[in-house]
Amino acid sequence: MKNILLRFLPKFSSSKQNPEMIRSLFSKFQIILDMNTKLLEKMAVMERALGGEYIFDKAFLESSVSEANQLVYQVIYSLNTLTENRYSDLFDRFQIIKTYLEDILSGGLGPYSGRLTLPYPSIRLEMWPLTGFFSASLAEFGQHLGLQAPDGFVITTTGIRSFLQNNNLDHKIKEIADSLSADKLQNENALLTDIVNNSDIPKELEQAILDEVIKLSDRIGKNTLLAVRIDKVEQEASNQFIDIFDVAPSDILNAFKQCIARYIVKEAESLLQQISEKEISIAVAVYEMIQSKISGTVLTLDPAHSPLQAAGVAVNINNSFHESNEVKEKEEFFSVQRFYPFEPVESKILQKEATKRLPDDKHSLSIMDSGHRRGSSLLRKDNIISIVETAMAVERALGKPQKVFWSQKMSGQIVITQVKPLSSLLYDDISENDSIDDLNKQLEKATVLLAGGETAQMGVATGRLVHVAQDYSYKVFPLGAIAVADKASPNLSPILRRAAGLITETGSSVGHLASIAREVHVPSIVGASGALELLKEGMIVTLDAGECKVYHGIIEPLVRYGSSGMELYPTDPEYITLRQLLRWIIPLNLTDPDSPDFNSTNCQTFHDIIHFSHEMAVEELLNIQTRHKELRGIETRRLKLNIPIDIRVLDIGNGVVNLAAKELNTDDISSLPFKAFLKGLASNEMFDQQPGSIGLREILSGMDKTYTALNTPPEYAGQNLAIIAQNYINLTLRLGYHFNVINAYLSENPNKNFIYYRFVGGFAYMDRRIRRAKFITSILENMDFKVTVTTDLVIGKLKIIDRKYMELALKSLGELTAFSRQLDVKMESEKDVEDFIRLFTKRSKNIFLANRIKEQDQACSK
Amino acid sequence: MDNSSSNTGVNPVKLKILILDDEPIVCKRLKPAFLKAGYEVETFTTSADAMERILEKKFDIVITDLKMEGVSGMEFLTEVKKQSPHTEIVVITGFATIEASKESLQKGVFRFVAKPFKLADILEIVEQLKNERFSITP
Repeated sequence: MKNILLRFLPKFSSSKQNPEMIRSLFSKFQIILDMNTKLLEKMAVMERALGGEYIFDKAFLESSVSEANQLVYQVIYSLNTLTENRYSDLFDRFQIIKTYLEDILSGGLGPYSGRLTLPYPSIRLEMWPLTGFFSASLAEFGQHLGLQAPDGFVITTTGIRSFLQNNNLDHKIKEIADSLSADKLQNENALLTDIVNNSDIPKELEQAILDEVIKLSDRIGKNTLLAVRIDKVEQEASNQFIDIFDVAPSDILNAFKQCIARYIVKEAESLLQQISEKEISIAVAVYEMIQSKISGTVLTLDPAHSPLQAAGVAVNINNSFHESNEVKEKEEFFSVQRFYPFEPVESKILQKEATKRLPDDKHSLSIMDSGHRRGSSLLRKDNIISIVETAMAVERALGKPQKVFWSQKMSGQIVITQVKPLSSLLYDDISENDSIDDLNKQLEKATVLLAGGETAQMGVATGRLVHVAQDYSYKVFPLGAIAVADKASPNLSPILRRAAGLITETGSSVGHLASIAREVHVPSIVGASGALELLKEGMIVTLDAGECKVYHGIIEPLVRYGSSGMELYPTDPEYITLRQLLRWIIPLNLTDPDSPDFNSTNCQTFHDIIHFSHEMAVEELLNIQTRHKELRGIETRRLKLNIPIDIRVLDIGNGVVNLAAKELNTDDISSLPFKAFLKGLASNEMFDQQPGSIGLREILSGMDKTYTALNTPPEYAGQNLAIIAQNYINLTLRLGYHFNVINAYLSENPNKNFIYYRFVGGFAYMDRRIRRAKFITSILENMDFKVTVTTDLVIGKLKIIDRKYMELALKSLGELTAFSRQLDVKMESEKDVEDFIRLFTKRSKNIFLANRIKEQDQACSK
Repeated sequence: MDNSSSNTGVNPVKLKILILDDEPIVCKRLKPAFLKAGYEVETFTTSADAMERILEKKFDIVITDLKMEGVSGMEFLTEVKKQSPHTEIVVITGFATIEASKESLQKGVFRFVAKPFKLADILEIVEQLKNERFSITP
C-alpha cells in the first residue's frame, strides 16, 4: 500500500537558494496545521455527539469518518512532502486504522472481530455484541470504572462459531431438535453426553482458552475457582444463562463443552436459526467465583416506594443465613435514599433467634462500638450504604435505573455480580401515561436555581451540592453528590468517578473534563457562570444537564423519567458504533515527544498520527535553517533596529508590508508573532549595552574559544535570520557563542498556536552557563512553558494558547533574548539566578510573571 | 414501523407533530423531547406509513428527513402540503444540496436543519414556529 501511495507523492525539490522552496515547505506546514485543526474540531463534534447533545444518524457517522480519513491522509502527505518522505510508514498506520473504521461502520468490531477470546481488561461496554452484555458490563465496571466486579475472560461469538463449525454441529443440532421434540426427557442426558464426548475444540481456540486461563490465574490467584456461563448476546441484558459453577481452572475445556452442550439441548431450534443466518449470538463468560458471605440485589429506583427517592436493597436470606425452617420469606428489604448521605427510609427485617450468628459474626444482642446493641438486621448501615453507592455508580454509567446483583466478599468488599436494566419496569414510553403533564406542571412550580452553561453530558441527577476547589481530594468527595467547581479543570477528573453530577462556572463542552464526563456518563453542565454563588453547599437539587438547569429539591417526575429516551444510552446501537469509532480516532497515546516510543509505528489512533505529524513538522521547521545550509546564501533584507543586533528577514507570505524596500523598519513588519517578539527585544530596559564583568575564569575559558574563533567561525556564527509569514516566525539568532531559535505560530485559533524556544551555549564557563539555563527555565516555566534542560540546552514548548496570552509570551521572549544575551558571564553564584529572575520580572512588567513570583513568595512565607 | 401516539387529551392547545425519519434513533430521541416540551407526537420510520397517516389525520407540524427509501421526503412534503396547506414543515437532513433546499423552500418548508443538530436547536425552531404561525402562548 505504502508504495502505491508513495508514487503519488511529489518529488522533493532541493533547489538551492530558492525562497520558493521555503515558501512551499511552509505552505505544507500550514496545511498540516489547518488539517490538524479541522480534525480536532471534527473529533470534538463526534465526541460531543456521544454526550447526547446532538441528534445524529448513521449518515453522520459515515460522513464524519470519511472526512477524518481525508484530513489525516492530507496531514501525512504534507508531512512527507515537508520531510523528503521520512515518515512514509505513517501511510501504513493510516491504512490499518482506516480499515478498522470501515469495518466498524459496516457493523463489525474492528480488530476485535477476529478474536476467539478476550480478557476482561481489554473489554469495554460497547463490545457486548462480541462478548455478551454480562461480561461487557462486569468488565466495564470492574476494569475501567473503579468498582469491584469479578475478573475473567470471554470466549467470543467468533470463538463459538469456530467451535460449532469445527464439529459440524449444525447437522447434529438438527437431529437434536427433532429427537427432543419426540421424547424430551429421555433423550436429554444421552445427547449431552454425546456432544461432550464427540466434539473437539479447534486447536487454535483451545490454545486461546488455555492462555487466557493462565493469564487470569496470574491476575486472581491460581486456586480461585471459576464459573462458566453462556451469555446470549442481546442488547442490554439477557435473562437466559446457563451456568456451571466451581470449575477448577484445569477443567475449563470440559466445562466449556458441557455448557455449550446444555445450550444446544435447551435451545436447539434457536441455534439452528443462528447458524442458518450466520449470526451466532452466544458468548461464553469464564469468570472468578466470588466467595461471599451475603448477597442480594438492589433496584436503584424502587418503584414500590413513593416519592421516588429510594433505592431498594434486597438481601437474600437463604444464601447467607441458614434459618429457612423458621423464616417463611426469603429476603430482607431496605429502602435507602438514592443520594448522599443515603439515609435509610424504611426497612423490613425478619425475625431471628437472638443467639444466631449474623453475617458479621455478631449476635443481634452484641454490644457494638457505638455502645448500642447490634440488632437483627442482616446488613449493617455501612454495608447498606456501600451497596447503594456502588449500585448508583452503575446506574450513572448506564444512564438508566438498574437492578444490580451484589455479593459481599469475606473481606467485606461489595462486588457487582450482574446488572440488568430496569427500563422494562419503569422507563418505557412516557407517552403511555399522563405523567408528562404532571412533569410540566411540577417544573412550572419548581424553583430554578441556575439556568445556563453548556451541556457536557445529558442526563438527570439528584443529590447534595458539594463545592470543590481545584486541589480538593477526590477521596473525600461523597459518592453520589453533585460537584460545583469554578474551572472545568482536568484535576477534577477523579471526582467525576464519584459524583452524580457536575456543574462548573467556566470551561467548554469540548474541554478535557467534559470528555471525561461523557466517558463516565455523568450529567454535567460547564460554563454556567455564577454557579458557586447560586448553588449553595449542602443544598439538595435536581440537575437536568440536557436543559442546562438546576432545580431546588427533588423534582420527582423528572427523576422518574430522567431524559426519558431523548438521551443517547450506552446500549443504543448508534452509541456503540460511535464509541467504537472514537476508540480509534480520539485517544492520544503518544504524549511525550522526548520518549523513544514517540515514533510513527506506535501511532494507534488518528489523534496519534496528527499529533505526531504536527510535532515532526514543527521539528522540521525548527531545524530548517540548520538543515538547509543553502539558506545562508539566500537573498534577505536587513531589519533596522535601535539595538546592535543584525537580523535578516526572509518573508515567505505576508510577513512584511513594504515589499520593495531593501531595508526594513519595524513598522514594515506585519508578521504577528515577529511583531510581538520585536516589542520585547527592542525594549530599552532589557537590552543592556554594558558588557558583563568577565572574571579570570571566563577569560581562560573564553581564550580557548577566542583562539578557535580566530581560526574557524564560532560554533554558532552566522547570520541572524527571521523567516516570517503573517502568522509565523522562525527566528534563529546566532550570537557567536549562543544559539537561540524561536519557532512560533500565532493566529486567532488557539488550537493552531504554539511557541517552541531553544537556547544553548554561551561564552562563560559551564557552571555559569548552567545558571543562565536555570534562569531561562524559571522564566519559561513561570509563563507555563513545558521545559526540558540538558546542561546548558533549554527547550521550552507552549501549545494551545489564546492569541492575547501568546502575544504577551512572545514579547517576554523578546525581552528574555535581550536580557539574557550576556547574562552567563554575570552568573557568579546561585543567588544571582534568583536575583536576575526578580530583576527581569520587575523590568518586564509582565503581570503574569509578577503574579507568579508573588505566589511563590507567599508560598515561601507560609 | 413505529407508530405510537401520545394523546393525553388533557391540554387542548397541544400542537400535533409528525416526525418521519428512516433512522429509528432519530425518532426514538426526538419523540420524548417533543413530548416533554408539550407537543402531541407521532413518529414514523417509513414514508409509506407516514403517507397513509396524513390521509387520516391533519398535523400542525411535520418534521421529515429528505433522503429515504421508497417515497422521498420531497414527495412526502408535497403530499403533506396538498392534503393540509396549513401544516408547517421542518426538514432535517444530512444531505442538504442547494437544489434540494431551494425546491423544498418553494414547497413551503419553514426551516432546513442539517444533521447532526442539537436537540435544543430543533426544539427552539419548533417553538419559534409555534409562536409565529400558530399564535399559541404556552
